[in-house]
Amino acid sequence: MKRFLLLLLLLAACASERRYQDKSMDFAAVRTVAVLPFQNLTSATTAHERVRDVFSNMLLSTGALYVLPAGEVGRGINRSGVAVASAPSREEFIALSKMLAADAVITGVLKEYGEVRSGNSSANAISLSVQMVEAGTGKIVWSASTTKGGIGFFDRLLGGGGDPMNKVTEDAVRDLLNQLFH
Amino acid sequence: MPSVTCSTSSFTERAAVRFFAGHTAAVALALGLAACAGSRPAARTEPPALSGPLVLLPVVNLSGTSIPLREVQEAVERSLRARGIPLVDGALVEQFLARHRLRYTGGVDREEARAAGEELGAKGLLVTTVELYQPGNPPKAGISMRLVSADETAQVRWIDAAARAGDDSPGLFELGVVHEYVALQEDVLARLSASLALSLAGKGPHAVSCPGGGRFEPKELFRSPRLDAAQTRSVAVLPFANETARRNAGDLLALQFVRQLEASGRFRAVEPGVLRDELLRFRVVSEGGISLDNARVILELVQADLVVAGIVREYEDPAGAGAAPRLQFTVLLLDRANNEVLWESTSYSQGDDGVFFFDAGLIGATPDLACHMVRSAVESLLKPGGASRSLSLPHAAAKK
Repeated sequence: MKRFLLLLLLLAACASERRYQDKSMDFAAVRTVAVLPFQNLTSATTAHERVRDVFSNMLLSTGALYVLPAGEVGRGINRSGVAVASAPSREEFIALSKMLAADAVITGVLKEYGEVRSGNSSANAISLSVQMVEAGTGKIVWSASTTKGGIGFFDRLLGGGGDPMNKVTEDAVRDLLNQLFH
Repeated sequence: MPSVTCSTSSFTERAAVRFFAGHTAAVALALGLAACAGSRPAARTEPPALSGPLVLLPVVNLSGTSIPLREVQEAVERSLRARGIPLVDGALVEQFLARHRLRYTGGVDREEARAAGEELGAKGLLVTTVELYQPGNPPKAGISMRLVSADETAQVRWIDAAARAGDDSPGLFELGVVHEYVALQEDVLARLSASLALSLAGKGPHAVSCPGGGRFEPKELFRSPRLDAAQTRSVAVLPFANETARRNAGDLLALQFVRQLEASGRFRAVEPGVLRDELLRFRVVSEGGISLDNARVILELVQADLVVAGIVREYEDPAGAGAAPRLQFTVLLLDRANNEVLWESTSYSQGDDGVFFFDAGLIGATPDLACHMVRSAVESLLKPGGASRSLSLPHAAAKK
């Protein structure tokens, strides 16, 4: 039993949390957020839009924040003249959040989305990182990343294609939201 | 073999009943009873909608493929006349359309509705849409119809749709499989005509829904408590942004929402033709989602309280036996009063979700799947306390 506990402790020590959270930020003051279009580094053309959609919806469904509709965010981006919608500058962040009356702006980068293969096995995987920028200062106050899915032990042993892409995406977003709210 | 009848059971449920009936009578009886108990479609019975001749507008093709429009039009007319539904002569309708230079018949605007009432003496206009046309083996057919009042209000007075695949109910030794598209289409049209006839006689619902069910529930959901107020509100359903390779998928989803919202009894949907006319007239474009400005303009133009907008991300109607359709969409509801999202949901399902044995419960036609999914989505909109479904309440909310 003691050995088992020791092993668990060791494993816990090995786990690294890829998260940054500004200690001085009062997250409870954030009531309205704008989720910008995610940057897409994958070959799936509309994947970033799908993931952004799931992220916005799940964030809204927590009941903790109000997420502005995507069309409203698009209008704000056009009107405030943001050059690259997925990665605005500090000044652009401030102008955009003022126009949208948002307390914070969220950006994201989709790094992997789709099927990964290893030998005869294949499974769906996603890798995503997001940042929250404070409206007034344009400062990053929270940043986190996650990777979900991929080929597991049982996939290698028994075959099978892993979880569907929608499920993997939800798992990844749920993980990010858990990091945000803890 | 026992006879199991259930007026509200869906086609797929009846298919399951027929299949099992060949094996054991008891199982068939149990399934039949279960179907009767669990899947009662929401329906609103109203007084006779309209009495008088109706204008059958030329059929609109949203199937994404070319179809023999003339034959379909004739089949629709035949089916309606067989039910004793009075129709304005086709030649007069053609002249009316030519006189008013009306080429789009997928909806009715206020001016057209008023003119039809005054010039043709009609009480309503019938809009017919072919949603699915697959004449292969097994064939698949899907048609939706709605009746719009022939006056300045241009209100939706009746709406229904039917879709089926030839192998929906194979039965014992596959004797129930339909191999001919025409026979399938006749069946679909017969259902719609019967539904319209009942509604006109004041004995049927004003908007017919389909069974929902847990397997088609939205996967992500936000619902504002502001929706709890028990009042009837008017809704403008915008065509969904289409991110699929399937043509017209956005329009089809919007039509499903019009039907299900009407069937809910809590919402009065604006006729899509009225909305289209206003959007074109004022050049309102909502590419990439709707903004609050656009929502305000639209709601002002059509005098509605709420606007529904969404995106279709997957809409697959595969051909072939046992092929399951797939559908994914996100939809949101915006309120004019406080410029807020009141409801947002994401749904994705396929026709064989929750199907384990002998294809019982398999949905073969995409419009049928869309109907189930949209019904479930609308149910979640009506259900109080729907928020915070995906995650437990985080500490940030608790802090507040």
